[in-house]
Amino acid sequence: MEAAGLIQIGLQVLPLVTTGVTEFIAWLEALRTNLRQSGEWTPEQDAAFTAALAAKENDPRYQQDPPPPAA
Amino acid sequence: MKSFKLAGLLLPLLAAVAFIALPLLPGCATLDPNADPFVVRTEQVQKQADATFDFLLGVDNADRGFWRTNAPAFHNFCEYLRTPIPVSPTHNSPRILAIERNVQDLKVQYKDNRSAGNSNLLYQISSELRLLVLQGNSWSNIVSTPNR
Repeated sequence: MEAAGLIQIGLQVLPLVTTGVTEFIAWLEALRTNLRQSGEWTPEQDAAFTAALAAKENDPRYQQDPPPPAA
Repeated sequence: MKSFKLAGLLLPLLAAVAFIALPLLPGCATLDPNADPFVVRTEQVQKQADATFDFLLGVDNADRGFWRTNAPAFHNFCEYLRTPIPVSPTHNSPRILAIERNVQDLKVQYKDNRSAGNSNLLYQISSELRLLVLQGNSWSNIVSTPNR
């Protein structure tokens, strides 16, 4: 599984990370948690995931660059 | 006799290394007997996509001007993920959220009715998401260690 390999690589490059250190560690932790999933999501977890996706529609990270000003 | 002494020295050292390193190593969990491996695998891809794209788009969003100038391929990848696409006649959604939503909807549909047709649809769309995640993972390791 590629997630396990990514964690190994991530731990190796961790000392070199200069951009978004906290987010990088959070990403590694998410991959690690992901590997430990043993069962299907419950309907509540499915609903929460759908709601979280809907909430991201207005997240500034997910918005495109504004169009360049007209000349 | 000498080898016994060496073993006596090495064993505590190995135990100490294992004690420190083992919690850091990722371990795959065993599947519950009633869990559908296809669903669990899809959900793992979904969570991985969620974490990866939050991270990547957050890094790009923190300094878009820098990435646009110094790593245009990365910035263009992020903009590709952000491009609004129609998800209904009256609503557009960023491309990556539309794909993630599509996977989620098809997965719930498959859970309700585990037919071959639903399975094929879910496999197709989750494979597309997985490819984007793989590409995103490559960028994750590249952009988090730039020479600024």
